[in-house]
Amino acid sequence: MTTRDHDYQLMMNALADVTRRRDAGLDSAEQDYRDNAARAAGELVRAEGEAAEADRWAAAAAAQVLDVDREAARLWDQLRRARGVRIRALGELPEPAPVEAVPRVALQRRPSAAEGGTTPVRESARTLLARAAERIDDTVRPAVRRPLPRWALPLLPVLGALVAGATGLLAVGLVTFGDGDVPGGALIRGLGWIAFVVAPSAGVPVVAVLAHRRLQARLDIGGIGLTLLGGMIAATILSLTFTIIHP
Amino acid sequence: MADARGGREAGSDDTNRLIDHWGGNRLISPVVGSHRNALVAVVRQELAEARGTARAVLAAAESARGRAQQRRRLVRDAYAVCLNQLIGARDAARTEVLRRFRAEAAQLAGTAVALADRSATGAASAPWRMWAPTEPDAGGHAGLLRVGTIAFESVTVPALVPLLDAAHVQLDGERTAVDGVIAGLLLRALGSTRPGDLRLTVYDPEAFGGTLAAFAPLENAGLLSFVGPGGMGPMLDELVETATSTGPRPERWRVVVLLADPAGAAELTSAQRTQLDRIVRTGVACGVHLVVRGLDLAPHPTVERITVHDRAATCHTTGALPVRLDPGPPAERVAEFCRSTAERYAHEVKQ
Repeated sequence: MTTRDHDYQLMMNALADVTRRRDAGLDSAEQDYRDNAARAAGELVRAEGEAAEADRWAAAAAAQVLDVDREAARLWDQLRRARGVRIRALGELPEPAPVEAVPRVALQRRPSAAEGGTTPVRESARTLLARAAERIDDTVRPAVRRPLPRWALPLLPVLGALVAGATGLLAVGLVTFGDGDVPGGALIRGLGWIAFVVAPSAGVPVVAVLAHRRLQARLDIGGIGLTLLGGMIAATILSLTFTIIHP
Repeated sequence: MADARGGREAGSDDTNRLIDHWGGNRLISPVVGSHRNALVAVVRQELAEARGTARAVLAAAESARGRAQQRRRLVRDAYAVCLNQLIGARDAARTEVLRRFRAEAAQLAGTAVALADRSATGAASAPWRMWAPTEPDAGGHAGLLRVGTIAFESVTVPALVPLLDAAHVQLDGERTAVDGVIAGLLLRALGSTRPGDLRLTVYDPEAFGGTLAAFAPLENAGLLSFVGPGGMGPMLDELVETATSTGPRPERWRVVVLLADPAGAAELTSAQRTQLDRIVRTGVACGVHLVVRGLDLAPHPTVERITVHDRAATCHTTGALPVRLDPGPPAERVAEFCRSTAERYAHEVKQ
């Protein structure tokens, strides 16, 4: 191939190169346009989404106002029916209190909530309603206690016997002391005999209080029976012993 | 609410503490001091706060909604403006790219046309309707041969490929178009050289020479020989011998046209493949050139590959620019030229 033929080939390559650069330039312009248009469209979609989210949140908040008012009215009515509450003194449903700081829990879905974070922590309306409902329930319907656990049942006669024994010993002491030459001996002796009478059942109130406070349980009729049984056995033994000592 | 109802006992204690707290501070009047009244006061306070809190949340939500809607309006307006600006920027960029391209392209295309006119003159590049054989230039240098045109903006640049003294040509693609390109190349090569300077050998086992039948008059003058089926091996041996011999030859160029199909290419023996590769490597320097259809030539700088698809083609010399192929030369024009060339050559031989 001669030099001029080679020059022709170089010129063809130059033409191809300039064509390639033109195509690349046009493609780049088009791609830039598409990228930026897509970015702008993304911003628009995001703004639309945030607006829709804010709409939903506002609708939910409006619905919550209605719910809270309805629930507050129901609770107020429930309180009105509670024993010992004077209806006239109760008055109408309380007006909404002015609340400057919105509870953080209620603002979690707000678009700008993550940015600020300056609102102090307050309780949500539902928490306040729940607490009020709990108070009213405790007042209107005292709590139903659970029965004693099974493991506590064998202890009841023992406790009943111990308390009855202690009461019996106290009774013996009073009778013995009243027999002496002391002023008011007859009264002291009488108290001793009364203590003898109540000794078998003295364990029942003690066991009931323990079950109530320690185990948050109620002492049912079976538990009372077991406690009485232990108390009666102890009182009998103590009476026999006392009779033998003082025939 | 269920979670707040957890322990009633704890709730009662809590109530008592709260009652003490609220009663001591603001809720319980000196007159009302009972437990029940204190409880009422606490519940009153809690319900009022709950209702107030719900309204505060609603106010905050309404405020947020107002801000979000305002932002949406702003973004919508900005989006329309932004889109217009982007379209403007894209159009400006496109205009600038095209302006630079046209400035460069006009200059390059003009230069390319001038170079093409110098590299392929007369019969080597004239359109078929104006085609006529021409005498080679004084130096006797073979130039490039036209196979089609390249449309470049408003300029049409001749698409040229090398052959004599420069390259072997391998063609692939649609068969009729390829045969037209081969006929055109041969006619331009013959028309731009003196009679007798170029001899053709045609191997066409499928059509028995029918593909290039228009060139048959050259056979009478000994300027064309057809090789029949089974003649590939001896032909290649002879070409290798011609390429390696140092003695004088009657012709200046020997152009061997191999028209095979893929099945024929598979039938080449390893010895024939070796001989063909040897001709590819050494043939151009000795004036032996291959014009091949249906065979793969070994990779070599002297092999010009033309790939044809739908009357368009790409080739090594014109690079990535698509070539619009010329139609094949009219058969009667080829036959007439070959008859006159054969007579002229016979006359010169007699003298």
